[in-house]
Amino acid sequence: MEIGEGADFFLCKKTDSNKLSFQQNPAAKLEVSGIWNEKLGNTINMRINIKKRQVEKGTLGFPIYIIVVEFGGLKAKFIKK
Amino acid sequence: MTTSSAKIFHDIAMNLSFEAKMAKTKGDENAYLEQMKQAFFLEKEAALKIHDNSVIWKHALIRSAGWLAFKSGLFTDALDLVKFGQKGNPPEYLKAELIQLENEIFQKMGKPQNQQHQTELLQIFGFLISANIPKSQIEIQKDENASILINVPSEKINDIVRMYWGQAVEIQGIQQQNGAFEMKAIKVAA
Repeated sequence: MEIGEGADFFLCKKTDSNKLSFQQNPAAKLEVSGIWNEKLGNTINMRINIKKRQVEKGTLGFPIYIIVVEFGGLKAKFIKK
Repeated sequence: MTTSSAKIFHDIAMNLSFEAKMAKTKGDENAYLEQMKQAFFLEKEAALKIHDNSVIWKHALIRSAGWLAFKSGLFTDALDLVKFGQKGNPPEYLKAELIQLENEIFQKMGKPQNQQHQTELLQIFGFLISANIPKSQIEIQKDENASILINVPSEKINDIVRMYWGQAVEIQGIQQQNGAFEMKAIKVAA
């Protein structure tokens, strides 16, 4: 789904047919963000905290996962909110 | 049927959005705007294919279509979608995201954030029973006893009459302050 910066994802459980449709309810939401290289003022943890603040807008009734990737160092952090 | 076709529209819209962003990274702003616009129209179609307001996908798709309109520079369309989305009683989380989008639109359009909107997107269903081409108006028969006159863009009225005459149609539009109804989109009713 399109959002202000990039996109976010709603995750569904796998079906027998492997086909997803909007008839299923989402099981989780996934927020993804990335940085090229960690540096002072732009770290994975800071980006995680920004995402955490973004998702503190009320509940959806299912968990929200946040993943931030550093492409330069091929490092990622993944949390459940 | 509708939810599966909505998924197809949504998937194509997201592919177009991805292609648009790729074009932007290559410096092709025109391709970015064009593909974003196409993505917006498809995402909006996907949202409108889900009629049940209790389905979270509907609200998520409206928000997504709103952002695509915003990124295409179609701020009025984006605002219409925000208002349409807010009327559907979305979950708190998505309601907050619609407000965020609304604020971004107002920043671009130069309006104060607390300004009351004078327009909201409405839907009308009925049969196209008559047209006044010089006045760019069509008449929609809503039921046995009621019809409504709708202003349409003058450059589109001939096509509208040709394509929809006598058919059941679904019209989206805005009620203006003087009570007149202004068409924004028309299609054959599902």
